[in-house]
Amino acid sequence: MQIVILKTDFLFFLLLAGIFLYSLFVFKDKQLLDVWRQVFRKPLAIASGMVLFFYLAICLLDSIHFKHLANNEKSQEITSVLDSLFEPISKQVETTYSAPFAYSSFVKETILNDDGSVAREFPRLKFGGSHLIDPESDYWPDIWISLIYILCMGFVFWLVLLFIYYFFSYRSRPKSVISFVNVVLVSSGSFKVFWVTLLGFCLLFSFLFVFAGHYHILGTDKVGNDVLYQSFKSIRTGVLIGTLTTLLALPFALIFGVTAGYFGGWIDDVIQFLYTTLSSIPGVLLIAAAALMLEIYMSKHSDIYMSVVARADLRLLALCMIIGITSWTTLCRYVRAETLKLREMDFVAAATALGATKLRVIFRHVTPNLMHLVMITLVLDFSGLVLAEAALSYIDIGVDPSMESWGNMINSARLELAREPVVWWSLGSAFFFMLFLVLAANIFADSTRDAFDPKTND
Amino acid sequence: MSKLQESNHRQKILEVNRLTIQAIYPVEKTIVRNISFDIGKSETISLVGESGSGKSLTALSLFGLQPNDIQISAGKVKFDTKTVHPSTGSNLRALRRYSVGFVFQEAQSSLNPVISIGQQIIEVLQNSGSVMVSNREQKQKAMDLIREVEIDDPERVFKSYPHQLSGGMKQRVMIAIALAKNPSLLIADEPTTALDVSVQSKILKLIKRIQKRTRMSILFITHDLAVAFQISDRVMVMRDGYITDKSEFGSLQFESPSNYTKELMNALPSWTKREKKQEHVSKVLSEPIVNVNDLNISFKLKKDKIFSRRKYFKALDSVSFVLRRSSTLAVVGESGSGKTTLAKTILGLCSAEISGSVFFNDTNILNCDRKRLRKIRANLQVVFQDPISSLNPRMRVGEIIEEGIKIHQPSLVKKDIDKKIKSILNDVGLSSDCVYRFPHEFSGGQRQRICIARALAVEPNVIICDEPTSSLDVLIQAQIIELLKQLQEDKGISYLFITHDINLVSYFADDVLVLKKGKVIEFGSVEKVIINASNPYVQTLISAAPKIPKYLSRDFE
Repeated sequence: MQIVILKTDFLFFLLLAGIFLYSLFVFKDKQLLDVWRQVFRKPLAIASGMVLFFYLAICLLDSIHFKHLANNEKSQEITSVLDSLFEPISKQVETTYSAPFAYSSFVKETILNDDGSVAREFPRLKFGGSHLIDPESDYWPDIWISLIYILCMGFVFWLVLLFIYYFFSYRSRPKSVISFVNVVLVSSGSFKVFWVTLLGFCLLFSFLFVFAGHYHILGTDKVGNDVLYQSFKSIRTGVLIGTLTTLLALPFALIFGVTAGYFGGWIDDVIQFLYTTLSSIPGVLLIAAAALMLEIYMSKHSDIYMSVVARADLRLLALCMIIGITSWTTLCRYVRAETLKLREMDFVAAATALGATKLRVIFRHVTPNLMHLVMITLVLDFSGLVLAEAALSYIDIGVDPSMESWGNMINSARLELAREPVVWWSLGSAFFFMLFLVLAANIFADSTRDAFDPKTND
Repeated sequence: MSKLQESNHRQKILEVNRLTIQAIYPVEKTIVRNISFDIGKSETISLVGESGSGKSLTALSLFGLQPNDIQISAGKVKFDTKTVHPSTGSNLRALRRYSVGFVFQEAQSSLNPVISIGQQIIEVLQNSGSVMVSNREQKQKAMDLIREVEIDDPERVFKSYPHQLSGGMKQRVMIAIALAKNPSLLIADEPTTALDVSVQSKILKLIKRIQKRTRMSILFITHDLAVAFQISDRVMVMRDGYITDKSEFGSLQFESPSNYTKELMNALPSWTKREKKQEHVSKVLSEPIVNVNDLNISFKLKKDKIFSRRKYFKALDSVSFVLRRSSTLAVVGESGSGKTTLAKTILGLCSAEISGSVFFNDTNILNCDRKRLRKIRANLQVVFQDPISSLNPRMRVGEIIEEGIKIHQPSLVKKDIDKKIKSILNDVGLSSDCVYRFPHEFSGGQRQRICIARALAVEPNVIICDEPTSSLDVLIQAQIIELLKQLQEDKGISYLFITHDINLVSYFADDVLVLKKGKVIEFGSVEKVIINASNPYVQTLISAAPKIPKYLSRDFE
């Protein structure tokens, strides 16, 4: 086994390292720590933060790639930790569509019976519900028993966590278990919300754990792949497109916007010309050109990009880069306008009068006052980017077709929605996975911005 | 006062009885408590108070213009025999439409920027139901109104848009719009506060003249006692939602003025008060610290054609003066006279075509290199007019004060910096726990103290004050001025004090520089220039400043 670091993995690790360093910095700075405490004092922020953490964790698991060398030296197949966690499910491929929790196929097939007669019926699935001996009578009891089992398991798991916390809570270790229960019951809002959300996650995990082995929880797609596995794999694509693209666009927007606004004159003219030109070129055209060029490049250097995963990864990175390069203009415009306003404020003049250098004025007085704008735009862009990926996949210039992404899932739903009866689960799961990510990001960013805006926390 | 007028006053146009106004969101809070007053026909009554006293809110609430989360909770309002409150349905709208005119402080934001002035007046004419047949008649009426408010060029103003007019013009237009419905009551909410002193006196006179002709009543809201005494027949003083003092019919005198009103009166700066304090008015002439010689500044104007010659706007025209050590030089002038440009030039913040010299001690600020300039800047500090925009909202007070220390004494350790910040905060009269708070948590006066603290942090010799008190209430203004004086005595700081308030100048300054359109009109000691004014322009400036009549101010001594 050999660990492989793909290009996007590297960038994602870099991002995580950045977050880690920032949090170290926060723990050193007392005032900053206070502000973040304020963020996590809000119940909604806690819940959405935990959801975001869940997505990030999945993304991290899916970003640790390795090669199996043991059995076959020449195998170029690269898998991730998430793949191995989903091992049985990802391999359990049915023949075609099947509904969530189904034990028989969604499509009627002609079956040759033992006695030689031919019948049109829904065949049993190879894996989904295959443990049922007589599905007609066993199905519902099995579901109910599993549900009860899940409830118990989730609760037990949760209680274990709670007791771990109880034994390791350093601050105010309660005297007895009962007093501890009291502490939890009467504790502040955010603390309670944390544990309630955690209970939700415990139940969710045990739900997945129990059912995923026996059923296709979210059904299967046209070629029989498990939709749950696809949705989970898509998280990495979505999160990476959302974060990497904004991170690539942010420096452009900030540096160009602030310089144009603060220095004015010919610098302003040049930068304005640059972004007006850039934003008047249709973005799709640029992206299509980049995608085609990349394809040619990869076919010329096919010896380097042998594995499917590496190719798809490069394409994802290229997509992030090209969207990033085309999408900084809007934010840049806002930043420039705001800087123009801030430049004329008296506190900037006062700082200059104190002898502050231009660089100091920009970093201490202008940029902090732009952050609310940046935050709002980034979060709005994030959801827009996840959606843009879907649109681009539709015209085949998005992520690689072999790569699982919500865009590709939605794209395939075009035909599925035209069927009778409708195949809704691919679209539905992509929708809900996306919804929770974007919603959580929005709420979290909102409370962060509130906490950082000195005017709102009176 | 004639018999007729008196009987007119007895006929009441507005009666307010035990009015109480409450805010219901976010917290329930009583803003105006149990006030009663009335306004007679063709009478002018002033409501005076500091910001936050509830004076504007009272006027707005009378006719249902208050914000949604504020309500009248008790009391009766009667307008010309009709009961306005408790409300009787559409009454309020009809009143606002036909009988009550409003003029607000900010003419800029009261006018719609995308509709021409003429159209805005015509709109009111149509709304107020004056029946007019043709467009021509409407235009005629609108032109009449513009003429009535004494605008020189009515044809041009009719066609122009708000941004093309000056502040005074806009306020005149607002008055014209208020007059369009031929109101029986005009509510003027600080209509002259944002204006220059000379423009203010013109507008006040205009309002008086119009009142004489139309016989409307006026409810005049202001924070300036002097203005109130100048314009009104009767004065009320309001504080924290109470009316503390009310003068009798036809009289400006309070029978037994409350302590608060006395305090307000005493806070007004004047020459006599200065003399009374027995201060040596003319200090020993000290050596100059800032010496400005033949300073010319011109701004490039945008070229209208690519190949046309560039035009310049001369902001300052051969200005020379001297600021003496630990003295105060007041720079006086109307807006547009180049006061602020002068301040910015001395601070080295001005980017324009400059000629002449500005010597600080022995260095010419205008042609010394950046490094040198940065060092000198510690000696020249500034306090701005607007306490809101002059503090970075994202920095804590500690960080704000610390910045200058860090720039000029980078070797200082954290402990010493903290100690220094504390002593500075103490100097400006703030407690040391302000360090961790943000500027928005402070009131205007406290913010101005923070600004002064920021300037003091680098131990300057000169502080340039750009109208530091003009956005503050009278009492707060007096406190800030006292603070500045105290600091001058303790630390020997010189002030270049920019202001348009002549009374303040005669109270506070040692020397005066009078500017008009970039040119020096007069320069000399206060006694010479202001008290024994000989220059006609200075005399008009002095006469434009609102003053409290002698017989009234005697009451408060």
